[in-house]
Amino acid sequence: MTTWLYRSTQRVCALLTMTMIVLVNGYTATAQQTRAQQTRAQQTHPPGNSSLEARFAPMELLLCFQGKGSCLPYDAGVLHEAYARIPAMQHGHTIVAGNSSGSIPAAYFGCFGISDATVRQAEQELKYGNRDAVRNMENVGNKISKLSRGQRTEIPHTDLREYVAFALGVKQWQDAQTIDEIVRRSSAKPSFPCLIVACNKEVLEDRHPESTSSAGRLKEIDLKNMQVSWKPEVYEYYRTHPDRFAHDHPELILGPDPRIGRAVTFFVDQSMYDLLSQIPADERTADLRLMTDAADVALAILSSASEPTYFEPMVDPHPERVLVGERHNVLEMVRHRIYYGGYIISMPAQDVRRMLPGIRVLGTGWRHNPLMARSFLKNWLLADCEEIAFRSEWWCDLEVNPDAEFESHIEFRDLSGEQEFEFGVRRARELLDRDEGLPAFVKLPYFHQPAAAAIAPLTAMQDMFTPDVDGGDQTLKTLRGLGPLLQPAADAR
Amino acid sequence: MIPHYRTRITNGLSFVLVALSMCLPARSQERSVGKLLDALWAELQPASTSQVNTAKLQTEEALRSLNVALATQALGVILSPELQLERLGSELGKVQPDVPALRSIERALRRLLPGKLQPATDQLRQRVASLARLLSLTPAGVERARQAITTIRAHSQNELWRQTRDGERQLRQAFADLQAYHPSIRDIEAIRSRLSIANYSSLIKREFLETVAQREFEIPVHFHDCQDGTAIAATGQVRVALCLELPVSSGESQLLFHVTGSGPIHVSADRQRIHVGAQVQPDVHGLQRLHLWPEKIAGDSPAVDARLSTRLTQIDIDGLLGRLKVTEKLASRIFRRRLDAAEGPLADQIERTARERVEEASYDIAYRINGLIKQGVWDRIRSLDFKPEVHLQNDAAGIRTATQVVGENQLGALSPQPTIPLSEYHELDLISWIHESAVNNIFDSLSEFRLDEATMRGLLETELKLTCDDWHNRPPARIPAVITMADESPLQLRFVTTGVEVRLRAKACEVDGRVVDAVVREFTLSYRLESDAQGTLFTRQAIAFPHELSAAQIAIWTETLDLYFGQTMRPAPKFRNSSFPDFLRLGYVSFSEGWLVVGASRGVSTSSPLAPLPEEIAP
Repeated sequence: MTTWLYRSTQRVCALLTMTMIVLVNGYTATAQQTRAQQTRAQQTHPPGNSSLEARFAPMELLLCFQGKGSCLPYDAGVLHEAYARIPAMQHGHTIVAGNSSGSIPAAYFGCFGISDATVRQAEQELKYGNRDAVRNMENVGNKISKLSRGQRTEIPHTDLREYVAFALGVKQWQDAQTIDEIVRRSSAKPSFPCLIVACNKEVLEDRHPESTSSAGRLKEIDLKNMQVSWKPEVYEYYRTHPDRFAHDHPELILGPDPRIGRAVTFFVDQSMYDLLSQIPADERTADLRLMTDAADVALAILSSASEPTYFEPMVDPHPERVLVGERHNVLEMVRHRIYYGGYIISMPAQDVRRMLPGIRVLGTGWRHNPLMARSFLKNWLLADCEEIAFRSEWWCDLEVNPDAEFESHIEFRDLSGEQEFEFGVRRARELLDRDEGLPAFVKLPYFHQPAAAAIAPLTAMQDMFTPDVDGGDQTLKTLRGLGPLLQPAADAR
Repeated sequence: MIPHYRTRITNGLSFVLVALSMCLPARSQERSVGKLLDALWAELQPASTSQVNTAKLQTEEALRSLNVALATQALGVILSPELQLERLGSELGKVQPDVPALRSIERALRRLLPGKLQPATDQLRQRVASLARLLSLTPAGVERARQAITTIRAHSQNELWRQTRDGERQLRQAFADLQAYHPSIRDIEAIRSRLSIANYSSLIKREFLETVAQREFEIPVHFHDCQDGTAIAATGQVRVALCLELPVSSGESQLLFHVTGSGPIHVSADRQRIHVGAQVQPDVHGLQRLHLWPEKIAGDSPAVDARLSTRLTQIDIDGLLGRLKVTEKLASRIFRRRLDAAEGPLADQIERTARERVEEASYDIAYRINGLIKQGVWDRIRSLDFKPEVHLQNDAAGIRTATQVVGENQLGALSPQPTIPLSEYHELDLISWIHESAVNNIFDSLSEFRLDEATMRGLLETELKLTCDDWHNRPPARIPAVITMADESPLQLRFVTTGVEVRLRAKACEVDGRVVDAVVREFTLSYRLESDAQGTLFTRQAIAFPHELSAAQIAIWTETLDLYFGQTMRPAPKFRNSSFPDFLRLGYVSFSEGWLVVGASRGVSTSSPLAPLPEEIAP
């Protein structure tokens, strides 16, 4: 009897425990699903188009801070000259974007807006910030020596404390040992239209498992929308060898078709999220990652600055905030979202200009990778940056590319911050005076017309489209110079 | 008179001996090539059916092995069609496989594949080549091989290939034919080594390396110990210097790093009311030997020995007793023993840290030196699926590399490398001798390669540091032009005394995104080496167009070729801050009988052009 009672009690307890587990699991899963659905619902149903129009129709300029390694003082020089010459910057009619080190000023202006005071502050910080750690790491001789020995070249993210603190408006950063500590001290929020580029490592990575310098050759990228897929024959192989797939690609999930995901993520504030999510998923060039607080902004900077061989890649702690498409969740395709620098897109203007055909695009200048680095990145991370750069830079109206003299100095990193700043000012003045500064090579991107939900500018523009020769779609006109946005230099006025 | 007469005889004999010694190698080489050719001739006979069948079986077995290896990885489904394995399978299924098909498959198998696939692929490639050779050995094939032997013999005797413009091409073609038809690979390689020498060599001078390798660093010393209740603490820094020696070696380059170090260390020993101060003088000596090959660097851990000598500098004893000399002497003796006992662990600590730092620094230097060899040439050649043979050695002048950049059916340099005038040789730190065959052998693998203008410009401007003013004056934002190379002999260089001739065979040309020509065309561009106030430059003298081109086509092609090969090419100017240390600059360029010689030296000029590798080794 006792035994029976004991056994029955055990069974009941076990049953109850199982029921509890099922219920708790069910509740947790339901709660997670509900939260994800709520997040997606909030993210994918932006305010009405009229509110977007009110916000974006007055916009006149997309200012791209194009990363050039440790050359932030040069960008500060360009900023100095551009701010003085472009009223659209002074009147808040400017969207900022950035990649790599350019994410730092982009994040700062995304949080604090563009004004006399913020521009002055940015110039000081970018000109005099301590970049020794990055410069040492960039030394080609050291880097090659370390890579040859199979040693790591990456430096810790904490070496960017000063710059992250600047972007987040934290004055007292010296005693903060971690980036998290700086984030805790910040009350910054992305409040102005801002976009920061980072590539998606887990999607792009295509390295040969037995060689650090050879390509895996299993994936392909569609430059039309930066969609990465398995090559058809590889996809078929993995479908019939699921164990092999799990072994080879623990970060990925084999989907119902060969698509893996997009190569790029844009970190954006809420307004840009609302704007760019209007573009159909198949046409957009990037996933969208919403930034709502200082932690998100810090993540965006570190994700964009963490170029291969510079810093370790960044894992997104909140991948549920990534918008892939209305019907897709990022975690249906990958197990983690890992960012590996913003080098991949030199000029992130395509989606913005397609939504805002009336704006002009100014870049602070790009340095193209040497052949060796281009080949290394292509073998490692699939994408040929030059082919992407041809199509990205087609969108620029003026790009303050460094001249040969500055390029020569950069190769040896022999300039002080003040000297680099002066080079930036001088080059920007030279190009803005002539209202011309374009890349050597471009290629026409596949999507070169306005998006269906494009927002018209407040005032009619004369040179928004190229003359319609073939009677086809309206091709947006680019490579125009800044035209009506420019005013003469102060000394010429 | 007699002594004078004797001297004349001795001088005369010496002259004859010298003349004989100069002739002997040529004659013996001639005989040796002749004998080898005789042997090859004698071996030539049509292959038997059993020989072919055995080769087929071996090829099938090698194919099976590679297929098994490929089936275990996803990359296999990509590589299998690229390596034409299915086609090979169907050829092997035939009674008489098609020789051109086998040769095409053999070319497809010439691939560098990372990891475990390489041995299986190499094995299959050799089997396919061997089978193709045996199948070629029909009576007609034997006759063709004999013709090749006759041509090689004729050209190798009396250096006939030098006498006509086409002679060198004929000799190279005959060697390729012999390789294609004759089964004795080892003998053919022997012929190659007799006929040609390394076509890329370099010298990194000893003095330069010794300067570059001079390193100094400080080892911080923080030491705490307790000896019989006495607390001993030591702080200080040992300054360690590395000095490179290059012992003469062949087959590899040996780097010998001598380590020396010294520096004051302050020691304090405290026990109750007694405080003793001392100065320790370490004398550090060590040695690190590294072996350098192009593909790796190896060596044992450095041997470092630290000897310490301690001198007491201060004794403080609190209280009345401390004022007594006897107490001081006693304390001195006791503490001396304690400090002597602490010397061992302190020396161990210095040695351990020094070993780590010396190993790090010496490997760093070795990798930088190797970078000049590996990054400069080796990696670039390998990236084109080429496997050059590189030999390294140290001699009295420095580290020398000799590389035979050849495929199985190609020859290296036929003429010896030219000398550099002594006055200029002494000024140079790095010298490269590049024979046109090294470049042309690699260029042969560029069949059907699509070379876009942007890549070409990147190659010239960032890798070779050559630029053309005209490029920067062209309208920006253009779609890069694309030239598709022809299937055979797509690009060839000819180094003549005055400069270089570039022969390009293109089969298509795209300008502004549109195909403007799609017929195989051959162009020859001649450049003259000149110098002006800014330094060395290459000036284009002429372009030889195919005669069938119309004026409009010539205009299009001229415009396109200008984008790839500028009218005037010069080393890109370099700008430096005045505080920047010395760097390498181009010091010497010369063309001679198929050879290009380039020398670089350390310089401080800010206007002079630079060699392409200054960064890695700026002292």
